[in-house]
Amino acid sequence: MMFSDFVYGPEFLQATFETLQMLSLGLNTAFIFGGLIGTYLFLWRPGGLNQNPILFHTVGTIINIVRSFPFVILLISVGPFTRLLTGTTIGPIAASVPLSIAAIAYFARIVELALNDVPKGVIEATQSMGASTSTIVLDVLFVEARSSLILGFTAMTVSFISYSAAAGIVGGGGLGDLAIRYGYYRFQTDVMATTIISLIVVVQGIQFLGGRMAARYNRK
Amino acid sequence: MFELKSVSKTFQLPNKDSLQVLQNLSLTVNKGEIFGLIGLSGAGKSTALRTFNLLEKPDSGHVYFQNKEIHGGQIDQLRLVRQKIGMIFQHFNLISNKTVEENVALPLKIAGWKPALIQARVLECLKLVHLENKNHSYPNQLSGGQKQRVAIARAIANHPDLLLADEPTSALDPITKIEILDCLTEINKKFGLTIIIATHEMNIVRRLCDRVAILDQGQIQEILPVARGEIHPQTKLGKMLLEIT
Repeated sequence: MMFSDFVYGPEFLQATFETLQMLSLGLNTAFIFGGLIGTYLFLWRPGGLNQNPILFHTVGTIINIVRSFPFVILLISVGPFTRLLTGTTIGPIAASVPLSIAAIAYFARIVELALNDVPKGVIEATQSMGASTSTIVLDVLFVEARSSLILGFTAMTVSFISYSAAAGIVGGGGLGDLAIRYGYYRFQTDVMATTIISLIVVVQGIQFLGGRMAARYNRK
Repeated sequence: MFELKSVSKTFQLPNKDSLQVLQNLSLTVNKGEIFGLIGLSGAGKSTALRTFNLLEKPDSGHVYFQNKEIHGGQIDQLRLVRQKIGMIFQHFNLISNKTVEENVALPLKIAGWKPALIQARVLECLKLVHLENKNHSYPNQLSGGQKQRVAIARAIANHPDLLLADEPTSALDPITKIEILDCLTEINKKFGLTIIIATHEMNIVRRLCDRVAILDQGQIQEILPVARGEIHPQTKLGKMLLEIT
């Protein structure tokens, strides 16, 4: 019998829900804070619209440090901070804290690079109209960079589905965790196959949607 | 009147060398005229042009807009002045994810126009450059000449007192070039709009300008009137430019 009983049905649904929970918390936090930090990095860079070498290098270094950590180590080392925020270090909500931290650092770089790719001439033309920095950012830069921002966000979502599997170590749960606990430790190949196939379908779906949206918003 | 007074500017190159692009340059452009800045690459014509709206901030010297000095440090004043200076570029610099209409509307939005008034003004400007039926197109659906005409519409939308044109025809074929130059002449005649144009072609100067300054190594060699397409440079550089372009 390939799919041994239907016993794993509820567990599977539970794991799917946990994965979605971790992802939506982590990615939303990254969208807001990573977006803000990335935009400021772009403004602060040497020769930027609001250049500030000290902040640029300080924040840049912090982001590099966060991104240097293997995710599992980051997960464990921010434990005390997680407990402070959520009151626990176990479960998908707790696991969202290290996920958010990693995702913020990741998305900040994506935003910085996407904004940096907008042709300087377009920024200059907007400056020559007497625009404020906030108009340049909101009305021109985000509009011109939106396709690369969508593609970057898509790539990040896919990476973080796989990161979220590591959250199982602190009892975060989720599909990846299910694959490890049942599929790997208990040699239940059917569970392993089901979770992995589901993940493949999810990743394909996300990539397809992201690609479609990016193309739709691109007029270059 | 629009004036640069004893303006100097030095660029720091990445290899730690420095390059003086403007050397104590003074220049007065009268209201209503089309003024040309001509020179070879690196002569400083583009930098001089960009100093009029302080896109390039000089190391020393003074910049006057309508006889009032403008300062790079006073951001709010500078923004208001820039809203009254239109600018067009060699590579058009349109916003590719905005429609033609949205591009032309942008300076009006920045200048705080009431939304109800913006659309009518946008269509009026597009009519002036003969593109009223392209308002919903995106820049990538237009030819080079059409893109530059959208850029002109955008530059004149907020009723500027001065139009800066930075090599506006260098990326265009000869016929489209004439089309753009005629469009600029028409706008100058119709509204008395002062235009300063940086170029390396004497042809353009002869067709368009009332006066021209010949620049070399960040300094003005001579300033000449252009009368009915005739121009008589005295300097060696001026004669050469006349002969070959």
